[in-house]
Amino acid sequence: MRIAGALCGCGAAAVLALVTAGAQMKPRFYDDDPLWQEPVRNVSEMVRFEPDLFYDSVENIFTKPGDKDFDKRAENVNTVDEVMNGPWFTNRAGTTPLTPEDVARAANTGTGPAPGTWTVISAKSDGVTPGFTVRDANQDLWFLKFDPPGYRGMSSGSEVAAAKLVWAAGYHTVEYYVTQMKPESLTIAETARFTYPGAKERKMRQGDLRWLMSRAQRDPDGSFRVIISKAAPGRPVGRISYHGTRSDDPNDLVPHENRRELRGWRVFASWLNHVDAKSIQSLDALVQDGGVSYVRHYMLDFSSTMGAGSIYPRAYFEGYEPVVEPFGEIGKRALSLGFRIPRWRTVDYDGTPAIGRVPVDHSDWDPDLWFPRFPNAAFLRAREDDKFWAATKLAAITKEMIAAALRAGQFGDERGVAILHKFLEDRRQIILQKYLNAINPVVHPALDATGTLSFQNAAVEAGVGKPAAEYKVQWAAFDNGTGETKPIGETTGNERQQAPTGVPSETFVRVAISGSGGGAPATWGQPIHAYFKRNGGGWKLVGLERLPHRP
Amino acid sequence: VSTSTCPHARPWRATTCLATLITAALGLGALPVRAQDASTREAEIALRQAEKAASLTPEAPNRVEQIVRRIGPVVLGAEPTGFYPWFGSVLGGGWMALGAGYRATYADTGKLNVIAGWSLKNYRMLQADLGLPTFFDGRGTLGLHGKYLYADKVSFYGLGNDTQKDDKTSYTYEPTTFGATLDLEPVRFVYVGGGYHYEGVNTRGGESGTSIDEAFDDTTAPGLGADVKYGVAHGYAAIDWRESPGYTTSGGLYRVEYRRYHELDGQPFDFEWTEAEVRQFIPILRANWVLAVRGVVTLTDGVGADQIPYFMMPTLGSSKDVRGFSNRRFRDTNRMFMEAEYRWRPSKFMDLVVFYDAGKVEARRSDLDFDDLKTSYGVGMRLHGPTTTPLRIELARCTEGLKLIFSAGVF
Repeated sequence: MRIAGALCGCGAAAVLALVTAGAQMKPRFYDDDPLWQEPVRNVSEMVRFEPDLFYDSVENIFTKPGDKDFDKRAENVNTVDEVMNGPWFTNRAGTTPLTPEDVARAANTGTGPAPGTWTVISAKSDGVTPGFTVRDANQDLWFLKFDPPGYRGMSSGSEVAAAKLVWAAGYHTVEYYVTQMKPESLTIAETARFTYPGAKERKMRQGDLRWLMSRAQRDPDGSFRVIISKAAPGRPVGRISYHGTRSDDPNDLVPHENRRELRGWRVFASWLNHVDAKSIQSLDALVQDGGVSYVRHYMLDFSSTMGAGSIYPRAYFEGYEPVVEPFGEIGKRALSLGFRIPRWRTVDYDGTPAIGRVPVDHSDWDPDLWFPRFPNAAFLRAREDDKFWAATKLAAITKEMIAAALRAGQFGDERGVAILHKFLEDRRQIILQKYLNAINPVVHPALDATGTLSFQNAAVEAGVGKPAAEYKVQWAAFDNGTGETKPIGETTGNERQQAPTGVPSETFVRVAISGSGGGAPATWGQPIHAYFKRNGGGWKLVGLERLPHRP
Repeated sequence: VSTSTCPHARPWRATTCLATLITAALGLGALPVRAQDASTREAEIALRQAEKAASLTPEAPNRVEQIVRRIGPVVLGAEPTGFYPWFGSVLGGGWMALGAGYRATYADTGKLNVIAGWSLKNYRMLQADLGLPTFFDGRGTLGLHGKYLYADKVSFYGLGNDTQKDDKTSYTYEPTTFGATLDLEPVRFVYVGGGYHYEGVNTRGGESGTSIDEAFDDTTAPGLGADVKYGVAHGYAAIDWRESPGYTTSGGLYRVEYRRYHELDGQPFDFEWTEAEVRQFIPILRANWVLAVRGVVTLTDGVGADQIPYFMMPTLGSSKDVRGFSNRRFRDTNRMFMEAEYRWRPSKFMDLVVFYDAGKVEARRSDLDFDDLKTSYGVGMRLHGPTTTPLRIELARCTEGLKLIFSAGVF
């Protein structure tokens, strides 16, 4: 009995040990990897939280909020290093077929507000440009903004064009339309309140509309060109913070500074010169989708993009340095009696009232030296793989798509549009040149049933790199339970190579692909790791690490 | 009795121990399910979501953010309403003053602002400004103003451009003013205005060093010991195309102002006061540098044979004209001064400057030439926003030594 009792105890301990060990033996890849749709859990309760613009600015200028590790791999990517479709992002350019017409339409689902009278339910008096919140005849909610006096088309056109391109990149945006509005088409809702700058809130009056519109560009016939954006579906619950997570959102698991699409947003922001890429220019909305309620994250307000600085043409410094310069730089300039001259003071600009102003020449422009007005925690943590990811999306946004977006902006100024087109094309090319070559650009690895490995080179495909003379592929068996690898062999050749003997017997295979010679820069010599899992008669790509040496 | 590790120390039975094993296994199942226990990626994420869902809290500002939210509007230059702490200057040379203010708004653009301040030099001030709601599409304002000031250590060195520093005396200056001013901007950049105010000034000997009445008489200090009551009609015209009156890197200000002082008790102190001013700001290389120049001429004329009391005469020497000299170091019936600054801008919020000032006071207008100018030069730093300059620190040197200036505002 004593022995039996001991056996009993040992048995229990063994079960514990086995189960515990099993819990710790987490496989590297699950059967459903790679996941392409971000799972969401229903969110029932959530209150609106508006960040404070001043605090947000101060916090980002004087502290470095967020993860202290500035070289951490993005934590929200799936196992093949891509962003899943979901509350934050929808893979479009480079993933789904996209036409210029699609880009011109972007998030729009109709033709704009219902014709007839628009009822003003609130007004923005404290911002840099006047704006109204209105309801159309269909009771849909819209936000209406104007161009500043003397700059017809600048803010509105820039905002619409940028929004189209941002949508094409994959971010959630709202519906934007450019339209013409006559003052008499506005009526004031009984409940509308208004706050004159520095004064107390009160009932809105007709004179308030006149006063607000007096700060806007008016056409000779008395009407106004306006940009009107549809309220995002669902209920607003706040803005995107570029660091940390929402404490009230169970789906918000990854600190935002470590989200790939927010880090990659830096690339698109630099492309568009979206210097105002901060929390307040976004929206968190609690939406109902497929019977599930969750927070969807939108990018908003692109009136400070390209040549526009919202109420003025882009300020000369914008994009070249932040609002508050690094303190060391201030010291150097102070001691120089002004003869340490920042680059932006000597850059030649071109522009028109319809587009604002943009630099004439981008030959020495460096997207890594681009700055938003205020530091952005996610931007600061953008690594080469994040920028590469964004660059692959940008590579899929064609010249025709850019033209379509600019047409949607209805700038009404051919020369101005040509300037903007060149601006976007030049910067796009520089971004691709830099970020597609900064790391190994091998993409789309595939292993077919015959054991033929194929892949592409994103830099070469985008026309910003010359083919490597050869690619080296190191083949290894991969143990999905332990993560251990066992070399199988090595092959060299072009973008199509036959697997060495021994591979077919394995369940998981890891290939390390690097390029060298020819037009390959040294960065291509650092191999990427691709993982394949036997899938019936063939192989399925289940994993990809672009910087395996920097997990 | 068994001493085994079996939790139930009873005579062994197969069923008992099997139950133990099952219990052990189920016991593990009763532990919180962890993300690493998932068998699919989706399940793993769902488990992590479930873990977070168990401890959700509403989004709210932390303690630091709460504080910053409160002070932010003030830092950004928004005018506080209600009672607020005030600091500034009661009168040039009175050192820093502290006090309290009360500000209220009404009818959107109407404003009331009352300030009571007390300086480190024991100067006192009570001031009230009532701005009526704007009209003329916001381009017209009518303001009512009242102010009482008590300063008992105001410097007087005698009249003229050649007074000695060692001749310093002091007097008590106690003016009370109230009146109304109308300001209009008929077209962009053009400003005209005018108004009428009462200005009563009581004076007597000072409380610092030698009192004025011990060293001067009414021939060397006209109006010595007099209390005056003026009705003052005034008007001005200006072209102002600076970016902002509080801070600019380009544009200019060209202003002429006229005042007629009428002594209400019939004392022989009626006079006219005229001032012309030019400020020009020349940005170089997108305002990497800014050359700023300013010139001011102030002329006073007694009406008929009337004199101008010494305490109403233009003065020279302060942080706002020839900076190296003490406040009101020189005074006479006419004055002119020029300031020139070489500014460079290492930051969008800080300017550095090298400056040179020159000026003089004269009894005769014809003597306002460029001979015998009083000069000073120095360096400085300004912390500013787009439209204001809350702090100006300058080190100025003149023939009478070095002067460190802490001030607000800039020409």
